[in-house]
Amino acid sequence: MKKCRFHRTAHLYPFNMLSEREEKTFEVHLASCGECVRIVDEARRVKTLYRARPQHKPSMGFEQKILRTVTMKPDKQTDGLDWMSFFRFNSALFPVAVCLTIILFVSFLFIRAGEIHRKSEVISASTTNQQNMTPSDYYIKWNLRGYERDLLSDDKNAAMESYYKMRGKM
Amino acid sequence: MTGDFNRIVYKHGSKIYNTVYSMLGNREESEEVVQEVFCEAYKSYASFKGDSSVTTWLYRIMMNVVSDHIKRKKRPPLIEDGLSIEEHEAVGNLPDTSESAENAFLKKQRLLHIRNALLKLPIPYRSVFVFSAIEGYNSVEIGKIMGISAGTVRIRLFRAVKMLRAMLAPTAAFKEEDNEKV
Repeated sequence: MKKCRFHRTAHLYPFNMLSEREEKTFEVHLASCGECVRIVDEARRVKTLYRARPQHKPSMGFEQKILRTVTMKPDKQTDGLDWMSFFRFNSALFPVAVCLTIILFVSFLFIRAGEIHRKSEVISASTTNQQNMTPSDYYIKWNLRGYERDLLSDDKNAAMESYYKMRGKM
Repeated sequence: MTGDFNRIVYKHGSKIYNTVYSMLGNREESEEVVQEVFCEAYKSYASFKGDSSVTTWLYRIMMNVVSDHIKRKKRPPLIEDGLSIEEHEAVGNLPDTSESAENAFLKKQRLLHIRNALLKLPIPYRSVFVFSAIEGYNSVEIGKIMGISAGTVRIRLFRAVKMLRAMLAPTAAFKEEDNEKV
């Protein structure tokens, strides 16, 4: 069913929210629209229900309590610098700070990924040429792997030993 | 300044409390909010130039404090499941006959239902409704208090009334309204 074009006006009529002209036009319409009469009646009942509610009062001595709090309450104390208050007063800076943080984080990730990629390239290159390696190449590679494991070592004998072990397996 | 401010607290304290209670439906939270309202008012009292009435100025502060309070709590206010002292008084001390006891019970249920229906409304609609239906302000005054246009006030009030009609119309509270007023 299509709603009457005064549907909204009918809800507002009992709340004195209409201009004089709007009220007059609506009252003319109201004489011929049963649907609007029903809405106005219900809206008026809603208003009366809430108007008729008892007034709520605060507890005894509430005003004195307020005055005590108001006059005693110290200003907010801050330990050191209050960074959030800086952003509160410069609210436009907050998105800029967030963007900068994201950019820094992403660039850190890229740099770290580049480093890992470079290291893995060195390792894979040395692995493919393993058969043609001399003991000194192997020593270098051995150290590289050690570097990868954060265990730099210059124990040449251990390197030579593992080199000959590897040659024996081939 | 303090003397003037004391007068404001005594004159408007109860009125502000009643409005806040209508919006939050909880005695303790309402008192906490009203205290906060007057603390804020005290801080800005020196800069109050009297462009608007003291009531409008206090209501404007109240709206900010209520919104902050609701945001800070991140949950709807705890609605008291019983009647307030004033509502108990309104139900009345009827003689203890079975008929009047039943009558008092029905009245209590009715008051609770009316209050809870209002508290189910979203806060922007609830505030406009409270200012209009309970406090009797017009759209321009409500707009000034809430910092919105009169058109927005009308739209919000229309939605609030529509929602309340839908919630209350099927109930006995709505039908009894003609015969008996609480």
